[in-house]
Amino acid sequence: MSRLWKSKGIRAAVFVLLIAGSSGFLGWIGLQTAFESTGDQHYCGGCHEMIPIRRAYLASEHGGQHKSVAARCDQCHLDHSSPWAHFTSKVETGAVDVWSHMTKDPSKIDWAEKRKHRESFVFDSGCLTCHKDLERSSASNHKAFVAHKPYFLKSVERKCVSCHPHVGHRDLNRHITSFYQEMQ
Amino acid sequence: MKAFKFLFTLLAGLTAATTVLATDSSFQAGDMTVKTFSIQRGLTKAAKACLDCHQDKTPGITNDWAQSRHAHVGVTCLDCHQVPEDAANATQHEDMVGGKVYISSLVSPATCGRCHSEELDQFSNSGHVRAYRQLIPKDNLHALTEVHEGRNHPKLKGAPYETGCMQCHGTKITLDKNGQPTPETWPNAGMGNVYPDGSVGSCTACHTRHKFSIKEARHPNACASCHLGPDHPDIEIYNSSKHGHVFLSGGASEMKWNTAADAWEPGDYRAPTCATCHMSGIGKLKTTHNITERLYWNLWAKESKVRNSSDVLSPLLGNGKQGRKLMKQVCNACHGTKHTDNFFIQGDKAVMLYNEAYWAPAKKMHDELKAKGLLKNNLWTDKFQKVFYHLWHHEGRRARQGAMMGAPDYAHWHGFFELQQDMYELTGIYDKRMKTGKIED
Repeated sequence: MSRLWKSKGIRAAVFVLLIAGSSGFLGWIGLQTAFESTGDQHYCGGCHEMIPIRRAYLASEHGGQHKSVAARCDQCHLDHSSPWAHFTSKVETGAVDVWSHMTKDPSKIDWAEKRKHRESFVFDSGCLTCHKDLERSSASNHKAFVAHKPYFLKSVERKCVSCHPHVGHRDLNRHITSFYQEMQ
Repeated sequence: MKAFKFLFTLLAGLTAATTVLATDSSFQAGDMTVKTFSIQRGLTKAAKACLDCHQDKTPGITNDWAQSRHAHVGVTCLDCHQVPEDAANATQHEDMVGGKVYISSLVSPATCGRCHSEELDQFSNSGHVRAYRQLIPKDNLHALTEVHEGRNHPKLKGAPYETGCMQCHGTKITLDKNGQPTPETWPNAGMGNVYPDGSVGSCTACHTRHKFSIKEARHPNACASCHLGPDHPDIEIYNSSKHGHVFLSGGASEMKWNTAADAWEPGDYRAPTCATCHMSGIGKLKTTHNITERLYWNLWAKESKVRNSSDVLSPLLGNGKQGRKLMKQVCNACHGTKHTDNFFIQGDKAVMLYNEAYWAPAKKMHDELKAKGLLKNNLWTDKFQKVFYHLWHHEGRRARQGAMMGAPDYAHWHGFFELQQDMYELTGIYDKRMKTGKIED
């Protein structure tokens, strides 16, 4: 062992591994911290164009109106199907948000039209992280069972928000309209 | 008094033990008893409030609902009628103003589709979706209903459309400033309604609210309220076909109407209904709400062509060859292959005869007269154009649909017999106008 340790190559290799490992570890912690601190309503709602969206969120069950349990923005709006998908969706949506914030006039955005494409920015993998027992538990609730059966059998192409178009933000259209009226 | 109290407690206990209990007969209609009830099972407070009051105000609705599958699984008024506060059609019940519950009398296909998603997908790919939308670009139709039938009356000209066309075809439902549907567009159970949420269709056209009975939807009468009359007498055709013969002479009472979808097979029915052949999962077929899927021809257009389009807005929507194959699978559950094949050979021959010997020459005469300016602007005062219209829209459809659905009298006396009369009349007028260069008085 001690002879091995005397070999310069081995010592260098261990050193490199240690550095790589610890920087990887630190990087992971950094990334997690960054993700954690940039994925909730305080951060996302910090930009003024998100104010009405945040208001509607806070008025909804998912914003804490139900038993004070709330979902974070990134729990619904990031892909949770794999760590890599989570990472890439964070980078992608983050970049789009920053770009739009700097280049676009939010009062000119047709928000109602954007909501029609909600399937592309609300992820079932997020919903199912919390509602993970839906498939099983809905059996005891007849109407929920009937409604979700084709979804779990994959006999229809539906996302959660296809049938739950208003989930997460209560009266969003009204909040958006009144916000831009206030601004004028 | 004590005995009364005991009785009362006993009754209250029974109410809790049973989920639905009839406690009072309000009135009787025929042998139907309209009941009041107290339901404790699976209802939220708000949903219970609807029922408690509406069984007094509209017992017809609540009793229908109580017999529905919706009631069995706990789907209540609010599950279908509640809408978000910011929906265009959001209204508040007069007793609940200021509360958090917003409702609408309009229930769109998107709402039904939240639970019945497969059915909605199939419906959305069917010709039924076109019921209203294919009327939109037709100026001559609007002229017919408003100018000619409505006599261009400043206030009342909408009546023929609203009480006629719209009730079967549907319309774009518009809202007043309070979010309530306007009387010009609602109520109607038209198949192709465009709802304020943008979704298209009308589930209640066949599944009458609020019972949504599978028996009703499978009964020929579900289709008959629209598929009847001089221009597409489909219920009359069915009634006079062999299938209708069996159905009407006792077959209807032998039907097992409530067998589960996809499991409804010969034996449950002796005579097939419209739904059996066009929708049901007979044998290895899959049940479908796409009524276009098993069709070969378009049998209502001016000229019948084989279906070959995937565009839901095309009158030729469907795959004719595949459709014929699927329809034959239904037939073969009761008929041998020779019987089935020969039946379609007979029917196809009639359709092709109409195309080649009636539509094509009539259209040729029509176009020649038009090119020479020998057609009147108002087609409803022009004998040639009136007969021409009847040739394809009434007689031609009766011949084709009568032949393809096995109704001899419609194929012949209401169909080809009338068609030959039309042809002689058209030829006579055509010859005269071409010879004189004038439109006769």
